[in-house]
Amino acid sequence: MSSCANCAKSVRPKSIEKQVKVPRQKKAPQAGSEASQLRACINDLAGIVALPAIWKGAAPSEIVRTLLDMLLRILQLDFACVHLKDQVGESPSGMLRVAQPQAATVPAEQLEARLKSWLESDSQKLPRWVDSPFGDGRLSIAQVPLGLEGEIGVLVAGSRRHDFPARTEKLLLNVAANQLAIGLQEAWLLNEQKRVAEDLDRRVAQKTEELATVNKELQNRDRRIGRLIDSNIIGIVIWDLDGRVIDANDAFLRMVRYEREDLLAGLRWFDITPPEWQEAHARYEAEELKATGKMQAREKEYFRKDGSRVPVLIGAACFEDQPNQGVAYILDLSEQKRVEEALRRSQAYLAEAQRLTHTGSCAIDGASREAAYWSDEMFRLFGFDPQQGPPKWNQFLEQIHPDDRDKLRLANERTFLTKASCDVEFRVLKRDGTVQHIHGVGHPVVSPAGDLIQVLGTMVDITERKRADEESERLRQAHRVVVETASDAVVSTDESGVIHFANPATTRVFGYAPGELIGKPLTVLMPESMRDMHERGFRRYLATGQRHLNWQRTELIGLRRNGQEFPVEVSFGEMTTNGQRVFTGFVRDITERKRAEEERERLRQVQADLARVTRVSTLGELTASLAHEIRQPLTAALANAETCVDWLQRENPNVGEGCEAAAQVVNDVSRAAGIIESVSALFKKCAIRREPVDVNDVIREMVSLLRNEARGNMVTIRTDLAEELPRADADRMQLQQVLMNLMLNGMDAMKNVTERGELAITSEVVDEQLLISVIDAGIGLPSEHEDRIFNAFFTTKENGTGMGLAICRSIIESHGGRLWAAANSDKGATFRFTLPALSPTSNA
Amino acid sequence: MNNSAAVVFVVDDDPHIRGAIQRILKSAGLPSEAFETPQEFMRRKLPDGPCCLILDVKLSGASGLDFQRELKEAGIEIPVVFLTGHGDIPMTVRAMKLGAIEFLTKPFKRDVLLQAIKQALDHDRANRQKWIEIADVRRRYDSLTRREREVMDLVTSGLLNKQIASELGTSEITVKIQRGNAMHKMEARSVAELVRMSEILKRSTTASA
Repeated sequence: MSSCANCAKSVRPKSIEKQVKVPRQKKAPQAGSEASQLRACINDLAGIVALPAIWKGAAPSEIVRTLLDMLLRILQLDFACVHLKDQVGESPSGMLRVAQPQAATVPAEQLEARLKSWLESDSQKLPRWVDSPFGDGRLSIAQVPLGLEGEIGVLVAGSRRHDFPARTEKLLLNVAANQLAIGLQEAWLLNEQKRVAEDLDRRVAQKTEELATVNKELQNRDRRIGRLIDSNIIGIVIWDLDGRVIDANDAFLRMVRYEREDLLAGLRWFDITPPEWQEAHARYEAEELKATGKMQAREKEYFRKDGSRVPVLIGAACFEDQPNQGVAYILDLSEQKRVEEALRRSQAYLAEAQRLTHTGSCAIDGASREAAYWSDEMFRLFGFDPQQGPPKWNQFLEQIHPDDRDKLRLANERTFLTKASCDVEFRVLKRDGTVQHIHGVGHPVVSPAGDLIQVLGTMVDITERKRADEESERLRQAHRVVVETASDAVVSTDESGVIHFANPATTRVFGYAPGELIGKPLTVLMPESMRDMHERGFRRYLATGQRHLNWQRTELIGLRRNGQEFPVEVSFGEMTTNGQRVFTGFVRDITERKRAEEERERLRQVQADLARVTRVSTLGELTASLAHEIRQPLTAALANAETCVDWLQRENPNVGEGCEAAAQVVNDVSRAAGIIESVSALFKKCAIRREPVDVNDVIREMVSLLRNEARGNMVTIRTDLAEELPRADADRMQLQQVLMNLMLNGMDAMKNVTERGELAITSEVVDEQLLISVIDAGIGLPSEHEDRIFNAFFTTKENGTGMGLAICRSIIESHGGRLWAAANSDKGATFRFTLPALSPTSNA
Repeated sequence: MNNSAAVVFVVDDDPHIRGAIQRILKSAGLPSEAFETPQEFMRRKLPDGPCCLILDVKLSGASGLDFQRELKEAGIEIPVVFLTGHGDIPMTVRAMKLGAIEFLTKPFKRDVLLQAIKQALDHDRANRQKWIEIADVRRRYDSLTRREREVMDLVTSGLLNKQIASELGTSEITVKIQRGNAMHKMEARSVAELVRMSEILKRSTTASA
């Protein structure tokens, strides 16, 4: 069936080739007997007549095809075709079948096109002969109309046989045409019936489906309504004007917290309506319901069962047939009211916050560019009356400081033009002349279409902040100037010890440019040897707060960029900003100071040396050479004496040599005695230059002379001198020598005493004699030998000659005085000497 | 000990000390010469016999220690006994390092001085003996031929005749003859003596170098 449909649509050569399988049973018409021809004809006829039985229920194309194939076979045609005038149903407009050999040589399209032109022009005028499209002579054509007057179409057959169509063949063609017409009509009829039946079926099915949809829709709607009624959202009440609740859903009951039993017991809506609403009902609602049958939705309240009120939104309508009854839809508004309340509260908070922070907010209309809303604080900030509403832009501008108006205008303009946020600071000039600083921020609100709806603005009074900022800026500047111009290096680090600030003086002190140090550890400024100690100390400080060194004016060693170490004095400070601990060191290069100190120390040393030299040259040198002078004759005397003994002790004593040696001993000893004599003589000779001397003067002289020496030895010199001290007849220089010697001894004695010592010199008159005391707090006197210290060559000092005190005593005694020493009760020793006082008369 | 050949020199600027020391030396039978200054002493040609110098540390003009150093630098090897009035340790150490025999503090005992002088003279005598011996050995060594010296060096370094012959590329019998010659010229009675002489030569060479 399907292959037939294919053929029917368009008669393709391939299909033809395939379909035409009919072998030629008869090679050529044989001039057989009439009878046999007739018999064959009758056979063929019977075949044709039997066709309708085969065609029962077949499609028109199938009918045409079988018929044509049969004709090709029985009439030995070269081709056969059918052309149908009107298409009915799925019938083909025509069909061409070609005998096998021709199909191979001639394109079927060519033949078909030819036939088509004939058939379509006028089937009646088909030529009897045509040139064979197969290129081998001419074809004899026979045509038979289909239907009584060819109204169905035409059957055409062609053969190369000249005798075609014979009479029997004509007959066969006619019969075949009739059979085909009948078959086709039957097939068409059958098709039509089938079509009608199918159409009917389809429409029934469609209708059924529509009905089902409608039903479903109805069901859904019912369900929705039911759900609405049963829902927890909307309360539904059937009521009457007498105040009864006829029925109500659970939602309503829940709203007013009544039970269904209460409803059944006769709940009255009028009873749960608060009095003011009862009045409203009586006045408006009842009228409205009567007049229009409806009540516009409105807010009112009901009493709950517990007496509390529930805010509701209610709308109602009367039933058409029963004007006294109706249905009401009720929404619980308590949640919404709560939200509204919260909103009102938060608005209040906002207003309060605005008031406290001096922050005003406003909205400016995008089109008119005029204020649409001002918060209360805005009015307060700019001094406008809230009753009058937000001021016009120009009024607003008048309040602005004249110097800032253009700035604000520009910012405003830009915001409206570019629809971008703006941020501007400006001043407000108050009527009393005070200036207020405002920080304004504007945010445009743009519609989806890109139109500027409005600009939301926030204005903050930053006068206080500004003042604080200016103050802190001023302080900062002042600090900066101090730090920048300081001669000390100022270096700050964070907790990790990394430098994040260094002032310009750092370059001078350390040789680093400030920028060079940023990010480096502080330890680059100290010598290798100190780094570890610093790190440990710093870590410990961070952990325990315990400082490993004094933070004020500590002397440390710094390291310059060129690797040079130098002495620094460092003070540290710590502060916390933004939770970060910042450590700042003030570093002073004390190289110069150190050098000066060292220079002073050196000078002091020189002075001390000078003092010592003075002492040595006056006494020490003298005593040293005295010792040498005496040692020489002693050495010679000893040598000679022993030689003498040697000569005399022999078995044969050599008296001559012995005498010679002995004589030399006498010589040597005399020489030694002479030396000692000459020293005494020296002192005696000096005593000749005596004069009245003010001993206090000499003391003051020596004190000032030895002041530096004393300071170097950490000794303070105190004097306690008697007024009106009589003069002494003395050699001033020798007195100086004695005093100097005693004072230096006193200081020496205190040299190894750790605490600061005091050397006191006093003068007084005792028993008509001057008594001078030199009191030290030193190591004291050697026990047992208190007086031996005055012996010549006695010394407790490494470098001493042991002559100083001996000479002192000899000098004092030559003056008729006395020199002695005594240990102090607590510590140290006191040396005292006396000098005879001159009578006041001899003074003059 | 042949004291008669020895001379003790005294340098001290104090005539009394000089006299006293010379008296001691005289009593001990030691010839002596005294000088006031180092310069005077330097003008005196030193004797061939043993001698020593008693030197005061504290001379007027120059320090005795400095003079000791000058002597050392001039190659004059005379043992020195120092005298000092007030000696200290650094001074003593310095003097001893430069070869001082003793450091005596004034006033000193006669015995101590004489003991120091004896020590100094013994030292000088031994020193002179050493130099005489060195000169003697050197003189004999100089009389050897070049080949005899080579043979002597190899013998004293412990080689056998055969080894020496192979070392010098000559016959063993030749080595024997040359060895005999060397022993004879060096007046060595045994190889051990020859080795000792060789040591003396080496030491003197390194010392003079």
